[in-house]
Amino acid sequence: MPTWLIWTLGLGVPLTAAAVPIIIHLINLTRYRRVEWAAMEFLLNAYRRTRKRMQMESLIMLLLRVMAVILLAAALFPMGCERIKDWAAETAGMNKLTISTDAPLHLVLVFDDSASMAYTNEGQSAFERGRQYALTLVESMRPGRDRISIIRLSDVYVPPNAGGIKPSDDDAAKSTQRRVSQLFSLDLDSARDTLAATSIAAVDTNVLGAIREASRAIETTPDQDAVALVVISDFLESGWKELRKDGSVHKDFRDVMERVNTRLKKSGTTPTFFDAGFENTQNVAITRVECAERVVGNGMEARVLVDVDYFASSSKAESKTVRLKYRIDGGSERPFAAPVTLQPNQRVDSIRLDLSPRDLALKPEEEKSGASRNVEIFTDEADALKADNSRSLVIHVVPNIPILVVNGVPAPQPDLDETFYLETALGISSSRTEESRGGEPETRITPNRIITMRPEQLMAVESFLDYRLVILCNVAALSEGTIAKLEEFVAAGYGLQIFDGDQLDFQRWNQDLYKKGAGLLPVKLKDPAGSSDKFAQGYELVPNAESHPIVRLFTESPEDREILVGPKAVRNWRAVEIPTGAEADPLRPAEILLNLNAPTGAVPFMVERPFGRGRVIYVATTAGERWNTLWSNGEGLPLFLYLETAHYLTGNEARYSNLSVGEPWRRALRVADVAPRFTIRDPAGTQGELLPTAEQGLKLLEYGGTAVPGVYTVTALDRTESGDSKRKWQERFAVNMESRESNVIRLAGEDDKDAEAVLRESLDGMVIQFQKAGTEIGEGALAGADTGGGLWLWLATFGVGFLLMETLWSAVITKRED
Amino acid sequence: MAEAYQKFLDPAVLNDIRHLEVTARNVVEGFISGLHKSPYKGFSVEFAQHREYVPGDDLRYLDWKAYAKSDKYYIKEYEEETNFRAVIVLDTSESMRYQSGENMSKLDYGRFMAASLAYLIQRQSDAAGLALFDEKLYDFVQPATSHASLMRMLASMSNRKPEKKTNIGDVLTDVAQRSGRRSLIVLISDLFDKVDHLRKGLEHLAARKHDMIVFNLMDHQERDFNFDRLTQFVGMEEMPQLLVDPKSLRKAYLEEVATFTAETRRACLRSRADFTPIDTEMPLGVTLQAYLAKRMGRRG
Repeated sequence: MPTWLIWTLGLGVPLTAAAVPIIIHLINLTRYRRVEWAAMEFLLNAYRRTRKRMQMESLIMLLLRVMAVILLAAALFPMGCERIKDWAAETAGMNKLTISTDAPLHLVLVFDDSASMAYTNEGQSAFERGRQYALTLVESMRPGRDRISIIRLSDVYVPPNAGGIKPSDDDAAKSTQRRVSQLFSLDLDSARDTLAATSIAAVDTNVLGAIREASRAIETTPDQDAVALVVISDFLESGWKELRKDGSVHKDFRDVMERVNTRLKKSGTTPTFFDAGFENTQNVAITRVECAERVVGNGMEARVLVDVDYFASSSKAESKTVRLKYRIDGGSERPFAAPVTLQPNQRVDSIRLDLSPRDLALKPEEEKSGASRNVEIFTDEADALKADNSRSLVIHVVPNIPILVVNGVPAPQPDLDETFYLETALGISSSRTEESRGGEPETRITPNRIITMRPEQLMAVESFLDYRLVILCNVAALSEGTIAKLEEFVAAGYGLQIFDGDQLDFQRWNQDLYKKGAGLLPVKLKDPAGSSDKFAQGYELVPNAESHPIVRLFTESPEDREILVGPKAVRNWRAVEIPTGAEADPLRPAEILLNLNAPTGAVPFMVERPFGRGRVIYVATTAGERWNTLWSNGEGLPLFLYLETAHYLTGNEARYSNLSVGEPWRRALRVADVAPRFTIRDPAGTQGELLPTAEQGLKLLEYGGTAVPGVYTVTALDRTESGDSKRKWQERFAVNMESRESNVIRLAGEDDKDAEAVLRESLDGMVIQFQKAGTEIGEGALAGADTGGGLWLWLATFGVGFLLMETLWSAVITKRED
Repeated sequence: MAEAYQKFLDPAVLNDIRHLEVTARNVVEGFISGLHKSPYKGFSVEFAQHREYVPGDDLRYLDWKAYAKSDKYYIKEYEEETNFRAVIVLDTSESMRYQSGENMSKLDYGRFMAASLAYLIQRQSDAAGLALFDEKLYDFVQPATSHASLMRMLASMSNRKPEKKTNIGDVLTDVAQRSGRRSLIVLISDLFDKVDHLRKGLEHLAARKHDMIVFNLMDHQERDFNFDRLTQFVGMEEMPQLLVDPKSLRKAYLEEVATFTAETRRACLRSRADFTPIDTEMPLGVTLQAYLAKRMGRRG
């Protein structure tokens, strides 16, 4: 529609409309009743007294009516124009955007391509609905003039275990690295291609992060350009709950949206939210598959724990029954556990799958390097969101785990030796025999292989990277070189355990290993404490961090708890100081796992602190019985406690074996692992090169393209003399959909408010457009154009209401009196 | 005549007021001592009949002998109880023609009132007369106790068409002169005239010791003025017309009515006349009952 016509109509229609009340008024003057009246004297007197006021009131009323009609016409006309334009565009097979401007338009499109968008109803997914709408928008823009920035949620880094909400500076930096593609300022053809090529990324939803990105794109748009914001999402509670008015990041969300809105207002546009989701969603999902054993050695049993959730928007939804199955490395399907019946929004957790040593046994060619096993867990039938009907678990089966134990006080008698009992415990074998398992080979409890050294032998160790765990027991001091190697070792992702003792020069330890909170030692050491009487009764241990994997072992039942808190066996300990103030680093906090119930009150007994990618655990007593009688009076406590600690520390590496979509995979390369070439194959079979990187002197392999769920394979290739490539080692890792994305419950507020109401409440006072899929006819409102927003809408509503009341009132009066 | 009788002597109305009696506010000279207090106490009168006692009857007229014989209360009624004279002055000007909705016109309502009162008065063997007026007194029926007199009054009321202006002041002066002896003057009118004129007329009547009751008849709509849409009011009695939105004028109009009522009431009090506003929407019987009960309360 030509601009001159819009302006002509824009002025003409309201002015013409303004004449309507005047005409009605004049017509009404001819439509009066005639009444013979006796008390005319009173009437005339009253009229004489009130004539001026009546005339004024009549005039004001007429003016109000005229105003109401003008406002109504002014408010509705631009929208009417857009309808006309839509109609014209549809007739011509096009669909135009509605910004009435000649300025170039920059459309910032926030596109939710998270896993939950795969939810499908009647053959169409929320993702497809959203993409279709996005493509319609692109089609409606003017080529050569307008441009689009597409911000996909998959482009925004979601920090693990942080709910994907508030990235730290570190996470923000990762986000920059993580962004798989820069999609700013695309021309329309590129935008169309990008949208067409975009698939569901299975990432977690980080709406606030995406809107922050959008805000950046909007604020950097030149002032002379028009800019519009469209957010396409399925508006599920999992992604949007924290943005609600009562949510934890509501203020941040509002602040960002206010900044965005300030810029959009200059263009005469309003933020548009397109709801591509479905109502009454239901989804049965496998939300957790975890191996209970942190390290699985060849010949060990493994327990796999499975959680199944049933998410439903309505609590009145029907119950569901599912049957779980598994297969290993693509082998045959096998059911396990009894069928599970779930009520809406119920979780059945820790459904157990026991894998025998035979299931995971290494083949002869793998016995040296170990191998990865892919255990796939799935339900017997698919539902509306198929992506979470199965999950993969990669279990690394190792031939053994080399653990270096450094004995600070070696002695010929076991009772006096610092590490005799510890070595025995860490290397324990199964008591079950072949006969007892009906022909099965002997089951191992641990794959640990213990190597013992004296402190002075450490000087000869070139690198600790050949071990998975180093345990220092009552070591007086360490050389500078050893400390540097240990720091490198732990930073690479491995474990260090430190037992205290009377040999420790605690001041040197504080200086060389605590380093005012920056070193390996998790705590600052002070003087030893406790009784000097060798036969004095000790004190008991009490859990502090009950949910910690090590402590949890002792807190799951009263019997388990009794194992920990029963023995009063710790006689001596070292007083320690947890890092505070400048010595504390919020990114690597010290966590007290166990306390000692000393007479002066609880004192830290076992403290953990991360260092680089690895972990360090400090124990405030000796590994042997110099300061305690744990081995002789501990009723098995040290066996469980130290074995579990060793598995925890050596299993650190395993956390990179099973990732959520979007999490980067990392692996430190030991000398033996280095190879001339590394390749990675994604679940679709696409193969690419991996180039090692270096960090703090370590060689690392990193891969950030974990966008698709499934199993990835990394292969190290050696060159043969003939120049061919030969596999040196191979490792697999699983990438699964973020379990939060399985929660398909729609965003709702108190009093069953729907998503739109919740969003409007969250952005209270801000003018936004909210469209549901299936009602796109009015997508012109994307621009909100110059329709005037809320004020105009209110005025229009007032005008309509006023006129309606007037009309009805007149009709009623006319009927009654005529 | 029979038709007029049927029309104005509504049996329901008469039944409603059957047990009530008109009492004068002040002592009125009468021929016979009886119901009304009279300076001529002790005069013998001819006994006519007994009737059953009803609450409110003066116990002085209770027949104790009859009670002793029959164990029932009877009141002795006499042939001539009083020489009480009443003149009913009815306004038949054009303004009395007004009626709203289903209501009867003020004139019809006034006719019913006049007829009922006349019947009641005659039934008590008092003399009732009638004066009809608009801009002047055009018919005057002298007070009498005969049935023929009642019939004549009814006939007079049904003949006149309401088409002239009101002139209460001169009319009341004329009535004062014609009434002769001291009488009860019952004025039934909308009183749409200058209040000064009314005052002047009432003063003339008061000067001649007449007792006065003023019924100010108004239609409900005249009191409430509840019109909704634009209306052209065409004045009666040669008043101009006015096109106006009644809603915006209602408050001022009601103030005018209130002022008029207050001034009229004051004028009546000044002349010791009873003033009673009557709404034509009220049932006639209820109106008369209420008024007569009020009069009885002042007895003595």
